Amino acid sequence: MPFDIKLLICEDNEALSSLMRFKLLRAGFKECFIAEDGKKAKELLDEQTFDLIITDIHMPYSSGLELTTYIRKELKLDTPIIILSSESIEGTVLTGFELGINDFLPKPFSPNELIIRVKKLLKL
Amino acid sequence: MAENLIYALIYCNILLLAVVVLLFGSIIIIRSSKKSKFDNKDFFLKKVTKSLNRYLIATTEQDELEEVEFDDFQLKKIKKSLYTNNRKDYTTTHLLSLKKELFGEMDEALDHAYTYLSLHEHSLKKTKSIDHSIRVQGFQELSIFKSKLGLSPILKHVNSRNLMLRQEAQVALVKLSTREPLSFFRKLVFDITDWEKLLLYSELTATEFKHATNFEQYLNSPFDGVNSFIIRLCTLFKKIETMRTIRHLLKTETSTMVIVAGLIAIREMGDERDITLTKDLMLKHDNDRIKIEGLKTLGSVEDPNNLDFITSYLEDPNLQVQFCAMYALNEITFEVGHYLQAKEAVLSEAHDLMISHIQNPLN
Repeated sequence: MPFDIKLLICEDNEALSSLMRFKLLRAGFKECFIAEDGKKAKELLDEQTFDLIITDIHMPYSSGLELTTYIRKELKLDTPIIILSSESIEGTVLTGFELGINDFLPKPFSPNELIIRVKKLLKL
Repeated sequence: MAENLIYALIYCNILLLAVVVLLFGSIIIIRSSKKSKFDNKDFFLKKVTKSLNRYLIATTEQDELEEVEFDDFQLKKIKKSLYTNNRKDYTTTHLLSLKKELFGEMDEALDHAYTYLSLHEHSLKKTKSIDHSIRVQGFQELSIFKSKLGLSPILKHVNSRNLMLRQEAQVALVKLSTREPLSFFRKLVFDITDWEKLLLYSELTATEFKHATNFEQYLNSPFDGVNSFIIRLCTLFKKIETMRTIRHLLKTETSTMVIVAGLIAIREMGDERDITLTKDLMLKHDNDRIKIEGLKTLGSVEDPNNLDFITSYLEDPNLQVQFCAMYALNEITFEVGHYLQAKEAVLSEAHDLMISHIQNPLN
């Protein structure tokens, strides 16, 4: 069943972003854009509106947390944000939630779990 | 006439040779230009990524037989195109970059893809390379994808004179060995260095088997570094059942490194019967490190019967030993200054400073 949803994946690992996009499209999400760094992510966010953003913490130009600040404070959007990170340090996780992320998925992760979390946040 | 014929024949032969050379030359040029176009990394990876993603997603969403056949079909497509070493490297790197980010069924699917595409053979060839950094790549690839075929070639490097090869081989073996990650300790001809201990410890804490591993079996090593490392592992992973063997070892051991590790084990996992052993070791070995660890252990026990023994170390020529004694006294009495005053102990200026520091550590 297709969902009329537009997603943004911010991830510098090309292999992973390509796989995530494939998985999300196959799960029924209509559109899925990829930004390989923080700069490209901001450009896309300035041009388009997204229903949900999935971002890695460590990226060139801007980290996932800086991007979250940009989305919440400058663009003033309440778009759901999921952060992926290989560091599950309590401080990082708490900072993320304070800045306004909606969910945190530690790496390594299961793409099936990601789909469940995306659907839950979008109430699908 | 005959002469002309000979010249004609020679001329024809030369022409024929030129044609043959031109023909072969063109074939070689065409083939190499074809290969170089398709060996282009981006072009190749785009094709591989499409098939690989289909395979990975289908594998983890399987249930239907058609999907299983679909998986094989996708991998077969990739396998057909892996006819150069560059392509094998690109594909392996691609799989590795996914491997570190994903777990569960996807992780298993990546291991299967690595084997199905015969990339393990490419990694095995790397382990024989003249270039050591390529050999190390081979070790890492085989161990990350858990290819058991890598065990034998990697084991050969466990005693390599080259430090990098030796360290990487040891780490790879810990990753590969499902039951006894340190079984290669039996084959060592050199002792392990402190850096190797750190690497091995880091790898062991990442494995699922640290709690099941029988470390004790390696305690009869001829190498002090190995024995002290094993004792430290037993302590860190709280293998209390190994204390009997550790006590027995300490009674005859002469290596400072091993005794220090043993004293730490006593502190973390020992009981009352180890106090006598601790004191005996401190008296038997006139070594500052042993005294320091022994004093820490006695301090942690908080038994007032040890106060006099500990106080005698306030006269030790080494200031650090004196400080540890002072600290241990404070651990037992809670007010080392008052205790020593009551005992009418003769204290030096250094002792006063130590007491002040222990009782007011923020100053």
